[in-house]
Amino acid sequence: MDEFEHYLRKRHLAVPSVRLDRRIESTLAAPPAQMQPAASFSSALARWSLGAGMGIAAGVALLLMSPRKAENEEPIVYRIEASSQLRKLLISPRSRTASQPLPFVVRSQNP
Amino acid sequence: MTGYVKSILLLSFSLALLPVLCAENVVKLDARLFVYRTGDFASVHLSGASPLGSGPARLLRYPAAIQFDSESFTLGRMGFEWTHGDVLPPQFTLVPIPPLLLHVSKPVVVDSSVPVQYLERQEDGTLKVREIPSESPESPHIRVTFRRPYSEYIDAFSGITVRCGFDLATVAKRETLPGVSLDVGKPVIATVNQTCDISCQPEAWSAVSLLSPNENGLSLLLLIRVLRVDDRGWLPDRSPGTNLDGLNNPILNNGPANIPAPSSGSRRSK
Repeated sequence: MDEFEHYLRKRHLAVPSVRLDRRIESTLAAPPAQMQPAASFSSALARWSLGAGMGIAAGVALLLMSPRKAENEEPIVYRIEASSQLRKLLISPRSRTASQPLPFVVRSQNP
Repeated sequence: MTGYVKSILLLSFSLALLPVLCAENVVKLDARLFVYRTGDFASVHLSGASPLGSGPARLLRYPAAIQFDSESFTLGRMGFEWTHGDVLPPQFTLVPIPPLLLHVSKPVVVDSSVPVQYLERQEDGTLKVREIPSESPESPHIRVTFRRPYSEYIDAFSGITVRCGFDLATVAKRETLPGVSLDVGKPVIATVNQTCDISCQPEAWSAVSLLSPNENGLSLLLLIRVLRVDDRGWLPDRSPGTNLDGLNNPILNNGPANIPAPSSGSRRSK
């Protein structure tokens, strides 16, 4: 018999305990208020403060993310006089010689 | 008491973040708009381009390049160059856009419109010259609208978003006049509109290419970059009155040097 077997033989086997059963029964039968101490006023206040703080933070974030008022929407317009070359490009219809479709080759690069 | 501590920490964090988030409410926008006719090239090759929205626009970021036959355009990390450096190929036309101050939700429109004349036959058989004035919405034009759609809060986390609205109207063809062989009839205007959002990293150039978006065969290449400035339009750590274009690459200084004061209304530059 080696040392490990000797150790196992010396161990007590688990047996039903009446005293343990009674203790569990009484614990489960007790009302919840007796199981846990009543929530203190300070911890409740802390929870509410935490909620209020998060609400304020969310409000600030929404305020910053919200679009500006409509009166700021009036655009600033820069009118740029077209050069003669640009004028020609805008007015002249597409040249007859360039009526063939241009063979574009696009090599896309996904980010 | 841990709840107290958490609440105080959260509030302190939010309040401490406020000035940071509100600090960047104006940026300087440098833009270069190049116009060219696609028919001037046999082929156009884009590398490093990705689709931008559902329209014809494509976004180019570093490293990217466009090959126009023998001419090339290269977009670097902090600049760009053509085949021969700063020499613009003759097929391209630069629309001079002044440096702009871009506020959140304060759009800036760059408009270049031209009048167009045509002949119209009268009831008595004579021909009369008519004109679509440049102020008319039906006139041929290139109109680019820049806008910062999002507040500083979002921009602080994801780069500075610039919303570009392209409005291009060109003469695609002219109506034929019976008995007149000249191409002088009423112009048929081809239009294209596209809006796209570009997330810009400060001081880095981004390019948007619109290849032949309408029947006219005109293409656009827009380059933009944003710089952080304070509320007065000055670059950080610079003394008042410093020319903002001093930061620019010398080869890019094509537009007016001074930044116009931000106010509503119409301006005209030449």
